[in-house]
Amino acid sequence: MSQQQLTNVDFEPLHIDHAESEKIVGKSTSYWKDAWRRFRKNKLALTGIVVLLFLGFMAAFGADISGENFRDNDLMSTNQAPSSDHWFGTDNLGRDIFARTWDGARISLFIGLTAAFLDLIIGIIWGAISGYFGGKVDEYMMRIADILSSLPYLLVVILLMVVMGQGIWTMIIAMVITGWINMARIVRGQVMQLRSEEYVLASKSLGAGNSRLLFKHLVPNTLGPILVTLTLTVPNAIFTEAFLSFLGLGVPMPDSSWGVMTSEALGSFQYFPYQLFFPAFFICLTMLAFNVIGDGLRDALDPKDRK
Amino acid sequence: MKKILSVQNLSVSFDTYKSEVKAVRDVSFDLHERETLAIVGESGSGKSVTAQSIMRLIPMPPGKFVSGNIIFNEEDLIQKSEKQMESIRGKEIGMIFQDPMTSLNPTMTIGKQITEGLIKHQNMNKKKPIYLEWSC
Ligand SMILES: Nc1ncnc2c1ncn2[C@@H]1O[C@H](COP(=O)(O)OP(=O)(O)O)[C@@H](O)[C@H]1O
Ligand SMILES: [Mg+2]
Repeated sequence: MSQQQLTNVDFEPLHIDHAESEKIVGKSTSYWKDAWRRFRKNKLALTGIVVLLFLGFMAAFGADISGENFRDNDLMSTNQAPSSDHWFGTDNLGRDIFARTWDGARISLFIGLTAAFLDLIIGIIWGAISGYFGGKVDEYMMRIADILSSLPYLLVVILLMVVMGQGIWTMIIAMVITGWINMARIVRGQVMQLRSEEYVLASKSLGAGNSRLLFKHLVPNTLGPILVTLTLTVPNAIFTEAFLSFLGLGVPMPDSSWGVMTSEALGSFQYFPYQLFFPAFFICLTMLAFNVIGDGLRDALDPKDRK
Repeated sequence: MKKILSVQNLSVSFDTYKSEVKAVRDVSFDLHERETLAIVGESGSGKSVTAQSIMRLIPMPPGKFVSGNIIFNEEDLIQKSEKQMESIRGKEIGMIFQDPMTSLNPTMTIGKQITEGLIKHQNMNKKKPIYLEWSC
């Protein structure tokens, strides 16, 4: 064993630079940056985003790429299989399915996004006010919501159609009348849970009023569940549109939508399956994309799951 | 010295599904200018409820003032409207919360939260930067 010589110097306290030790280690990140970092790790959800961007791009420009017009019918070339002329083939009126698919995408996505956006606005305002004030206000607001949500959706569509005529906006309004309630319930539940948080009290003790507490403090903290619900509302609306169009209650001629196209293709499904395949495929793809994005968002925005 | 705050026979209760919880019972104290008053007590004895009552931060319902007055600058805070209280909170009376982990909003920057009261009460501009000075 070797012996070490210790001197007084060894017992001198080390110099600590306080300015240095108080420095924050690691970059400060905001909540949203952090969420995005976690979202990016989810390859499936990223794929969903890419697919959606692609669908969005094709909805905007796809109908013009093939050089065919979605309305033009060429009765000399009906029910043609996919070829270099007609990439997705033609339907029973000789219309180019490729052009119709993207024209349909435009309408399907428009309906889905618009309905979801209106649901979002009404749902946030209604749910936040109801959950924040609670008591009688909450009681009345939620009973109104319950009554609306108990209306059979198809009945609302048919009644509205009598009043407003068949059309895209009729569908959107009918969807929104019964659709915002889900969003309102989620926001209400979140706000009820959060309104007793100490930071709400702290902000109130600084003199913040109701609207500031609600929309600056509470609603931003419910954005996670809101976004997740939203990503499920959009495909739901798209699917509902397809369903209504399929029943013949949806988008009127000559416009197309994926629902209209599947409905038209079903009659000759056994002979020309590709006519059904393309619109059905894109409905599925869109729903799937939104669902994986919703899943990814839920994981990324969950504050309990920070890594 | 001038009396700033006078809590007189304050009783605060909460209505719960079982019974009435008497959180604060008949509390009285005075606070004068340039005076520091510390309230000490065991956990659950009603310190926080007393302090929050002065700021009128008790949720009502389930909370309620059973009796008493809170005289601040010769006016009874219990009689004030919510709007009037908003201009007292953070300007005339401030409050520091116990737990920094839960008293800060996770979706708002610290800077925004610190300046929240200043912007509200001092008519400070949101766009102009606010320089905070402190010393340790
Ligand atoms: N919202 C409420 N509902 C029912 N009881 C409450 C509520 N808030 C506080 N109390 C009760 O009031 C009493 C005093 O609580 P508190 O003032 O927080 O005590 P402390 O002195 O530890 O700060 C406790 O017994 C508590 O259970
Ligand atoms: Mg306490």
